[in-house]
Amino acid sequence: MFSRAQKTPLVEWWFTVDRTLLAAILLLMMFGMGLSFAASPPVAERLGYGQWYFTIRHFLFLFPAIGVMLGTSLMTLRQIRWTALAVLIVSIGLLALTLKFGVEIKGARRWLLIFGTSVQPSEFVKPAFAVIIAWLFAEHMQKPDMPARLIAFAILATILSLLMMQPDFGQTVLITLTFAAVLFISGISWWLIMGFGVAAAALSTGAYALFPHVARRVDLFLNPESIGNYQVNKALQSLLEGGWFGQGPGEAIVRRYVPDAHADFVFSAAAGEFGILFSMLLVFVIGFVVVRALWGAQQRSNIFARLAISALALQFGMQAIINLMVNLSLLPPKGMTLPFVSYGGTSMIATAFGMGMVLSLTRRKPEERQISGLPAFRGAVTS
Amino acid sequence: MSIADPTTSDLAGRQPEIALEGGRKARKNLTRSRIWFSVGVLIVVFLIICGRLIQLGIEKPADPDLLRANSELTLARPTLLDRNGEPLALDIEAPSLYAEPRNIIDVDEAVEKLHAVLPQLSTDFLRQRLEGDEGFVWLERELSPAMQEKVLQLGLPGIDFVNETKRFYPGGSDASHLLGTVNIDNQGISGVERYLDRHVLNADSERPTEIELSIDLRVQHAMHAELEDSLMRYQAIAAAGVMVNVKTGEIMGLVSLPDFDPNVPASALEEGRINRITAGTFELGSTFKTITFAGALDSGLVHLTDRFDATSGVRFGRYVIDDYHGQHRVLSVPEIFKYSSNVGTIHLMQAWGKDNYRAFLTRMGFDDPLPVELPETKRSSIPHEFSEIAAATASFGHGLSVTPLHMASAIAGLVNNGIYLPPTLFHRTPEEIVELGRQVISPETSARIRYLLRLNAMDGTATHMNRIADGYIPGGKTGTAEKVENGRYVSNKNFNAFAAAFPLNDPQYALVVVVDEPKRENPQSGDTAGWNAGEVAGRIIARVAPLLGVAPDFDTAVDQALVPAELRSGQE
Repeated sequence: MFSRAQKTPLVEWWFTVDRTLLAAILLLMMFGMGLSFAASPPVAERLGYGQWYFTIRHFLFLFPAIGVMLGTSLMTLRQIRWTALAVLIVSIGLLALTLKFGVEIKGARRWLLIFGTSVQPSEFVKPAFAVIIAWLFAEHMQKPDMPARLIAFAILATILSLLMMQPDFGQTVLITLTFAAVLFISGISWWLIMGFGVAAAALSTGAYALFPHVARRVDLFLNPESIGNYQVNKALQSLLEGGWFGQGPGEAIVRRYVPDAHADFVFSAAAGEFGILFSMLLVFVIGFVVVRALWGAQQRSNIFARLAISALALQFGMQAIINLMVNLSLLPPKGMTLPFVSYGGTSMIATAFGMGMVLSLTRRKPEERQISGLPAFRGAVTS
Repeated sequence: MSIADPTTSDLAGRQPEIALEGGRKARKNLTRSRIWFSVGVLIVVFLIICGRLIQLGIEKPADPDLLRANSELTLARPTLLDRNGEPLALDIEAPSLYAEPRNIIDVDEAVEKLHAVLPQLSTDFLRQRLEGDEGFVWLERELSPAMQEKVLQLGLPGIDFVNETKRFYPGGSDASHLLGTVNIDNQGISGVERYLDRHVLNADSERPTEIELSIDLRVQHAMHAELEDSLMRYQAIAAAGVMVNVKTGEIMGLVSLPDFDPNVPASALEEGRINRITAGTFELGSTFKTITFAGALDSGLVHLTDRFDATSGVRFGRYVIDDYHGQHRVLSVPEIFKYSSNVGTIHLMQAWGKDNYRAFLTRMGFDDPLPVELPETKRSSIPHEFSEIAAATASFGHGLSVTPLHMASAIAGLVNNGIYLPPTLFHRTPEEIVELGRQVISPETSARIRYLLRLNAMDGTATHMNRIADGYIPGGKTGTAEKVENGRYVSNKNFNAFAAAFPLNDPQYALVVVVDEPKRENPQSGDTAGWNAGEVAGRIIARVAPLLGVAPDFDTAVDQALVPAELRSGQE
């Protein structure tokens, strides 16, 4: 199938894609499946579904997710850009629609009901935004006279204002951090970075002052004695209960009381059964995916590819880090999922789309190996 | 194509400005170093996460049994007892049935036998639960010990019980506000239960298994029953009462209605169920005259033999304060008390001095936050300094609000030879009583207050109470306050209070009863405090005095002995 005798797209793909990275991502998906077995049955039972409701759905979501990831990884650099642009435009549109037609869950309008399934457009905004911002900055680095930065800031402002109206503090932070990451990688001066740091501090103080739910979370975090800090307490207890080796499948008790055990707190809920050593292995795999992707990024000579991969990888990494730190009560609760591990169809497919783009962009010199076999500058020649 | 393919930028020959090339390369190298920098930061963060995981792994050696013993499922709370050792709140262990399907040898046998003992579990349900290879499934939560015994007799492998702890209040709502309640995790969320969590059950000290409270369950129940009766009898919206042992400061009973069932914690959330004794402050009206009289008599500036002019109301600018039971003549000090004359009380207070009065309120503990062991307390609202008119109204209990428990403690101190003891819900040792006791008025003044309270019961506004509790030598003072609605006093809605003590020849207990918006019991009766709050107090005294070992005494010589020397000579 993967014989090099013939130059089919699939063969092209197989010999250029970063197979180590692909294997690590698939491994992470498997871990997610395993954790779902441990963490979601109590939640599903509590919500009155069957015991395996979330686990089965998690499993079913894996297929479209892997399909999207592999499909995206087959794309060429140019196709990636246009796909990302299309996804960004559509998902920003849907994001705006959530404000009007969204389903309100726990006080926020983040979901749209499309054909009976709820979709969270902000999940798709994230990877598409990363790629488009990378594109704009790459353009700016080559043609400083283009107002690319201005456009980038305008897109950022649009998305942030839509997210804050939902409100969705976690995604707001992540989008902002992604933008900051691209700025940083693209090589802005340390002075500017410090300036942005000050602005970020001011923003977070503002969020604390303006949004009561943010203030409450921070207060609860700083004052762990209060009864309301239920989620974090239970999460920590679950980790402690697991110990190094875990209680074994079906044996952990505390996980039954961890709220959102299938989503935000899947890491600590599952730790009760699998133990801390396994949890560290999971952290290692996540870290490996991020670092491997970044390693791939710095090998690319194409500035756009380099920025886009870095942005996607850092976004993935930061989301995972925030989720892990919340689970380990190093950060106040945010409402951030663990990519590929937490339950959530939109989140999984969107993350798969992002990782598919990483896989595509890290393919060894994909720009010189177009399907036709023509030289890479064909586009330039014909333009 | 309007957007250039970035790959073309590598072809230097296509760019007209060659000078830029070096800059571009530098930037490319910069992005590369920035990526490595990010990788470094990420690795540091991931190491922090791993470090935290290691820390959590070390923190608790994986001993699941120890952890489970400490978990809230089985966390024990101390049994709360009343002063006679009767249980007020206790942990009961409810056995919950579970199965370990992987250890079950014969599923058919297990299903059949379990179904025979627990017919409420259908065979289909049992079969579905017991088949398979799971480590743990619940079958039925919180069974009775008898059922547990029967199931254990079956001797089935893989079927076992785990004891879940449940807080149980055998008295139901009898002591609800006082005990408070616990949440699903057995943590105290109100009342004494919450106080214990905050101050007694700290992790560093050993947890007591039993805690004796000061209250007497019999008294508590009698008060609860009588106050409940008063709600019906007077169609009141609320009623509350507290009884204090005057010699120790221990609270014998504390009831506030409407209340809730602590076994059903959610019932506490309904509107209007606050603890009115400690968490509600009210204008307690003329009951305050007792305080005014005590302070004035103790100062030496006013004597029982003094007379004050109460022929007409007292004018402050455009306000005139007049009497409810107006006599409109010159009244002696005991007459002012028994007719509850506002005018006389104002003159008496003025003879003493308004600043002295304000200082005396502080001495009687009205400014202090309640020292009682409940989280639900409210501070008094008393002006820091009295104007002339504020002092005048305050002398008969208007324009200042305190909790009924403040008043009960003050009355207790006044009748207890002037030794004030802060109220407590816990048992108090004689040494603590000596240490905490505070002389607020002289024993002689205390005797005069006892005389006035008794006089009022025999021949004043508290006669209804005396008729009901005859023989237990009770005394008391009524207080009828018009309620404030939208900033004005409304005349048809009263907040009635009654402060009492008994037996006055040897004071042992003080009692404050409040009834919110009582109606007339029948057309012949009135709606002032003597008709409702006073009668409730009388019924409570008549009911609890025998329980507390107070023997009735109908000898009038006892009352004669209460008359202070200065009046006795005048009578003879």
